[in-house]
Order: sequence, then C-alpha cells, then structure tokens
Amino acid sequence: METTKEKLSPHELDEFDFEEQLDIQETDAEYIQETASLFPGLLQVSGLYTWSYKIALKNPFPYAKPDGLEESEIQPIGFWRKRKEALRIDLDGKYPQNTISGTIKIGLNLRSHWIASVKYQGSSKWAGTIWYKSGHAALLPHTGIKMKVIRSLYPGQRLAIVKFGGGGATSRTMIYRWKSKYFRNVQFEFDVASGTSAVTHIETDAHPNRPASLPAEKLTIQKVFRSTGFKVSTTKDSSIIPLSGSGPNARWSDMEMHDAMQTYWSRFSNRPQWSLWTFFAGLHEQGPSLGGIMFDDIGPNHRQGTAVFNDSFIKNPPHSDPKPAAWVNRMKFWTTCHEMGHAFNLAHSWQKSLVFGGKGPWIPLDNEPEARSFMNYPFSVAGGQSAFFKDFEYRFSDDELLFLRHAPEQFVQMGNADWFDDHGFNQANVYPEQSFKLEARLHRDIDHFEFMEPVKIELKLVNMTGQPKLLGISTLSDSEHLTVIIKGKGKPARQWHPYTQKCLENPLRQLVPEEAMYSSLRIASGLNGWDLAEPGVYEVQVAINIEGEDIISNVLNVKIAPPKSYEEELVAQDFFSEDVGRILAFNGSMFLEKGNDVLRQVVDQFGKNRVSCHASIALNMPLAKGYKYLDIPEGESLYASAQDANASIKVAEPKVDEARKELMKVLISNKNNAVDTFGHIDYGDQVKMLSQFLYADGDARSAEECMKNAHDVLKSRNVLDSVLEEFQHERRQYSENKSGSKTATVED
Amino acid sequence: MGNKTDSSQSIGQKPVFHIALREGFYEDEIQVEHNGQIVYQKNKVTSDVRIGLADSFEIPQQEGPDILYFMIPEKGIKQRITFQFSFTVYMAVSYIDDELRLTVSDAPFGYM
Ligand SMILES: [Zn+2]
Repeated sequence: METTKEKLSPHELDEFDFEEQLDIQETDAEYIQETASLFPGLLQVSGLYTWSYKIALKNPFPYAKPDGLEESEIQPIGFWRKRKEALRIDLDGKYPQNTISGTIKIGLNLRSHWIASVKYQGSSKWAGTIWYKSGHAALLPHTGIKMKVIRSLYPGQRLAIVKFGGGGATSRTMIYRWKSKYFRNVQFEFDVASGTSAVTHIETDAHPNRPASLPAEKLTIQKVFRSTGFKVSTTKDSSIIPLSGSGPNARWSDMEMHDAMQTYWSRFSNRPQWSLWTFFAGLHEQGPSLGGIMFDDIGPNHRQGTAVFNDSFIKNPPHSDPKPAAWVNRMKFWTTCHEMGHAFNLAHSWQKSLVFGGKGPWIPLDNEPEARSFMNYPFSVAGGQSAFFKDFEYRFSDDELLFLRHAPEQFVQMGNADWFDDHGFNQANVYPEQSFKLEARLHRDIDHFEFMEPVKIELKLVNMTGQPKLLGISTLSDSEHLTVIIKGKGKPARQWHPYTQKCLENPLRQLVPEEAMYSSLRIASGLNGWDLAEPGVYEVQVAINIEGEDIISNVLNVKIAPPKSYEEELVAQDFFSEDVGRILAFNGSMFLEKGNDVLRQVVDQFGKNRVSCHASIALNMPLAKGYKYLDIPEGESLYASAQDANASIKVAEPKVDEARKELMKVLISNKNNAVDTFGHIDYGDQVKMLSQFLYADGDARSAEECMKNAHDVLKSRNVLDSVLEEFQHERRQYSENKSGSKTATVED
Repeated sequence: MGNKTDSSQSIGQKPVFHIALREGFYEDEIQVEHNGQIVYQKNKVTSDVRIGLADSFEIPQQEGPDILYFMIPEKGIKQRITFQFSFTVYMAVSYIDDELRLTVSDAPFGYM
C-alpha cells in the first residue's frame, strides 16, 4: 500500500515538523476524542499501520542512507527495491500492552524490528523509549518515539504520525496509514481422527465455576486468537483421518501425526507460514496421561502441527463436579488453545525464564506459576483446577500477548524458529550508545570457503567508552556471554553451541580507549551439528554481554562453495560427523579413531584442498605433544574405580619427527594458504605451538625459523605491530638458546 | 531420552510408586535406588519442555518403610526419601535451582 508518497515525498518527510502538524490536527483530534464514546469500536487506535515506498536503484537512499549500510547490501527487485514499514499500535482494545512495535524491510534482505513502551501524553499523543531492536540496527538508530494518532470513522483517514529521535541520530518522522485492527493474520485447520470429535467452541457460562465478570457467550477458538490480535481464518476442508494412520495400536506417535499432517493438511508446506494444523485424536502412544502435545519438533520446520487427545485424562471430571459434561468440554477447549499456544512458540507459564539446551526466552521473563493463562496447567496452581477456573478469563498473560503481538515475526510464526528457540538476540539491554564495538570478520584472500573447509571467523572488540575498561581475557571466547547466530538463505536461524562451555579462569586485562581485543571462533560445527556445511550463502552475527549491556556485531556474510567432484561429495558424508567436528574443534584426538580415519582420507585424496590443512593439523598435533591417558590392565572392569582396577596414568610416546614434517609442510611451506584458512589468530597460535615442541625436542633453529616465517607472513598482511613483536620476541629467545636441550614433551 | 510409560498401568494390584522425572533435566545420568537396589539408571535423561516431562517409571512398594535415593552423580546430587504408604503414590521429581524438588500426589499427573 503506497499511500504516504501521494501526499508527502521522502524529502518532505525529513523537513516535516512534528509539533506543527500536531497543532494543525488538534481540533479534529479533540472532536474525535469527544465522540469516541459514541463509536468505541470504530475509533480504536490499536491495530496495524503501514508505510511503503519504492526506491529507484540509481539513488537508493534519497532521504538518508543509513550509516553502516553498503548499497550492495540491498537486493534489487526488478528495477526497484521497496522500503516497507509496519507499525503495530497496542494501546486500547482487549488487554492493551501500552506498546508500539515496528518492522522495517528494504528489498529482500534488510530487516529491522523494534519495540517501544509508551505512555499517554494527552490529546491522542503517546511517547516512550525503544527497548528492543533486532536486525540491521542501522535502519533505526533512534532510541525513542513520539506518536500522534488521527482517529476517524473512515478507515482511509486513520493515521499514525511517528517521530523517531535520540541515539545521536537525526530525527525522522513517518506517517503510517491504518490497515487492520489485527496485528497479524493466521490460518487454522482442524482435522479429526476417525471415531473422535473436535471441541472448537464452548458456552462460557456452561460451568458455574467461573469469574463473575466473564461475559456469557459462545466462545470459539478463533475468537480467542482474535482477541490476542490475530485475524483468523479457518480452512473449510476438514478431514476425517483414518485410524490406520496410527498403526495397529490405535495410539498416535509424534511421527505418525507428523505423517498425517503432511498427508491430510490441505495447506501443508515445509516452510514458515502463518498456518497451523490442529488434530483431534483418541490417545497418544504415551497413554492417558498426555492430554495434548505440540508434536511438531520434527524436521526443519517446527511448530506447524499440534494435537489434542480426547480419551486422555482430560475426559475425567473431578469427583462430584456439579456439571461434569461442561467441565470436560471446557477442559478439551482449554487443552486445544494450550497446544495451539505452543505452536505460536509459547512456553508453559512456569518455564518462562527457562534456558534449555541453549534455547531460551526472547527477552528476560519471569516465571508465572500462578498465571490464569492458557499456558499454565490448571491443576498446578495453588488451590488446584477449581481455583484456576474461578479466575480464568480465557486469555493469555500480558507477557504472552506482548510476544504474540510484538515479537519479531520469525519467533512466533509457525515453521520458523525452532520450538522453544527465539533464535534472535535478546536486545532488551541495548543502550543508545554502545560502550564497545564488536566486529565479526574474515581475513582471507578469497571471499568464500571451499567445500568442507571449516568456517572460522575472527572477532574484534573495541573499547568506545573513552575510559579504560577492565575485561576478562577470555571475554571473546567464553560462550556463556557470547551468542553466535548463523542463518542460511531461506532457512531458520540457528544458534551456534560450541562443544564445550569453557569455564576458563578469566583474569582481567585493561582495554584503554579505542584499544581492541581479538579472538577466533571455529563456528562450522558444534552441539547442533554442522551448521555451516552445505554450499550456500550464510549470515553470521555475534552478540556479547558485557556488564549487562548487549553488544551486537555487524552481519557477516559467509559463502561456502559447492563440491568440486563427486568424490568430495562422497567423503563429505563421513566428514560432516560429530567425531570429525570434535577432532577439528579440539585440534586432534587420540581416541576418536573413526574420525581420524576420515581425516586421513581427506589428506590423501584432497591434499590440495584447504580442508586438508585442518585435517593435517588435527592428525599431527596430538602426535607431536604426547598424550596422557588412563591405562587399565586387560581383564579389569571398565566400571571399577581406577584404583581398584590397578590403572595408572601413562603418557603416549610422542612421534615428533612424523608430526614435525607434516606440520612444517602445512604451516611453513604453505604459509599463505595456511594464514588464509586458519585466520591470523589461529595461524599464529599454531606456529607458536609447533615452535615450542620443536624447541623442546632440541631443535631451536627450526623453532626460530618458524617464528620468522610467521612474523613475515603476518607482517605482509598488516597485522598489528604489537602482535608482530610477540613473534620477534619469541624468535629472539629461541635464537639465544640454540643449544636448547630436550625437555619434557608432555603438556598439561 | 527415556521411553515414557503409561501412568495408568500399575504392576498387578499391589501399591506402587509411580515416579515421573519432570523438569530441569538435560542429558543427565540419573540413578534411583530403592531399598538398596538400583531400580532406574539412564543416561541422557532430558526433559521434554513441550509437556514438562522427561521420563516415568513404576516400582512396587515393599513391606515396611521404603527408602529411595535419587542420584545425579555428575551434579553431586544424592537425595534420600523415606515413605511408608499402603496405596499407590504418584511422585514428580524436578531439578530446579540446583536441587531436586518433589511433589507427591495420590492421583496420576497429567501432561499437555
Ligand atoms: Zn503444554
């Protein structure tokens, strides 16, 4: 809907005086305010407002090119690219959250999402602060908003005038036009298994135990979700699903329901869409203790299907309930809304703050164990189910409404973010002026990674405060404070979870103003598997929490090239395994033999590919330094204590000659290639390690030579003088001790 | 993840303990000892956050007091509970704020 440009060009918007415009409209606004009580529904402010503008390619930012955006970041659509903005105003109507949120989209790939809390200032004006931002921060540098709404009985005349300011940026005024009283659209389909039925509505006064203020009405599931802000439509073609789908025992497993969903849901598609399948069946294979389940955490697109089991415990009313049939009907209705809530990515009321397997709430939330919400268990509150239903208004809690109405679309939409995973950055603590600047980058001659070449990125954190700051030296490698998001094109984003949560001792170091600290992250694989394996284009973004402030990096583009041969594809099937991922992450293993075999195959078959550098390092580092292991005599139980089993700690014989030859080949003979594929930081660390064990083995001359080579190649790449000096210093030490004698080769 | 069992089925007619391992478990090794016998031992017990349940199992009650130990060796948890009941008891165990929390009921728990 291109409305605003008819009245105001982008240039005019820049000069548009917010206050002046407000004054002009004051009389109308007051008049409308007075008449509001006569037409309450028609004059509601809440709803969705939009603005859009086509940008000519030659001059993509006629009004203001946001700082930090390259023009090449914008994908053209034909000869135009479109800037679209949506504004969700949530100030009146049912359960208002005093919140305004917005989404800015430019072309196909630039997105920014923001949320502000606002207070009424009188005369149809509100003001407040933006407390949440995600996406391309440059699209909205501001930290506060002021808004004036123009109400009208005629939808085409309803406007929201919003002025964005603060954050050190030039203020910007936008005029959004009313589009809908709903924030988002969603479509439901209800299918039933043969022999059972769907409860999709109830009479709210059918059971005597209810809030006195609850209106007596026929309440449908659609109406419940309409009151959360969704425009709900329902497909007409409901199916009766034969029991044969559940296998011989007539109980449904998650996988059987997933199969049924793909077969019978008229709208099924393996992609994110605002569409949800709800299935009514007899029993889950788990038995009568399971009332319902959001069964779809299977495959790449989660949360598309949910199920209710009519023959489970929810069909059993409490003893001596005055209206058992109404109780059961209400319980089935409640369970259906509950399971559908899970499909919108809502957690249980008592799990709101839970971080589980690296997944957690989208913003810091408090548990709500006593909430009278669809997402709480009625029998778990104080006083049990009767206390619950006595105060239950058939609603979601305020925090849940905030999420459903205002969280970034991908967190809520079915088939998008993985179940329980907000997959975005928690930016509740974004400050207008960040104390640190975090940069994610690559140091490479070529702009892509070869197929199977493990992706590493480097991080640079700069102190922007103007004051010296004390930081832990492992700040940039401590996964407790670091979040890395990886997003493949057209795929949901994934959070990188490293194999170990490092619990490093973290002594402090000082970072003077403008000074930076650096680290390298090997993000190709982790506990989630190989997130960066398939050929394609990925976006990587990193966030770090320092003293409660979230510092967000730029979005880094990472490209992975396709395999060059069928043989590469074949080996890749074994290469992208957990064993290989762990071996590469820990620079080798003496125990994961299967993975080591794959790496040997990689070195033998693809010696010219960059992945072979990584494979060779992982195979040879352990040989070079000797390994401690627990030696249990034959015949002793593996499950006895080490002492009982007469076990002892032994050290594997180092194979220095073999290792030295291979490591020198990778790190010194092919140093340019090695720097490219390992990055400056890891390359430097590996050469230092190689030099140390050469020296320990009595070869100070080679140790010195290695340091010289590393120094020279890093210097040719403009590495900081302070880093180069470290190499010079170590080189001098080796030079002064050329007669270095053999020392222990075991490292703790 | 462990197989979940059907809470409606009891072993014979004798009173049993129905034990549900509920919230807060993530790839944990859990052992349960009943009157000196290991009656449950599984690795990688993980709560299914969709329904708030990780696993469940039943053990027959014995004559005299029943002494149960719940153990999560990796977390250094070993908790003793003594009961003397003559009817089937439903027990839910969750790991919350670094400790085990127990809920006991004479009626089956439901999940959704
Ligand atoms: Zn649930």
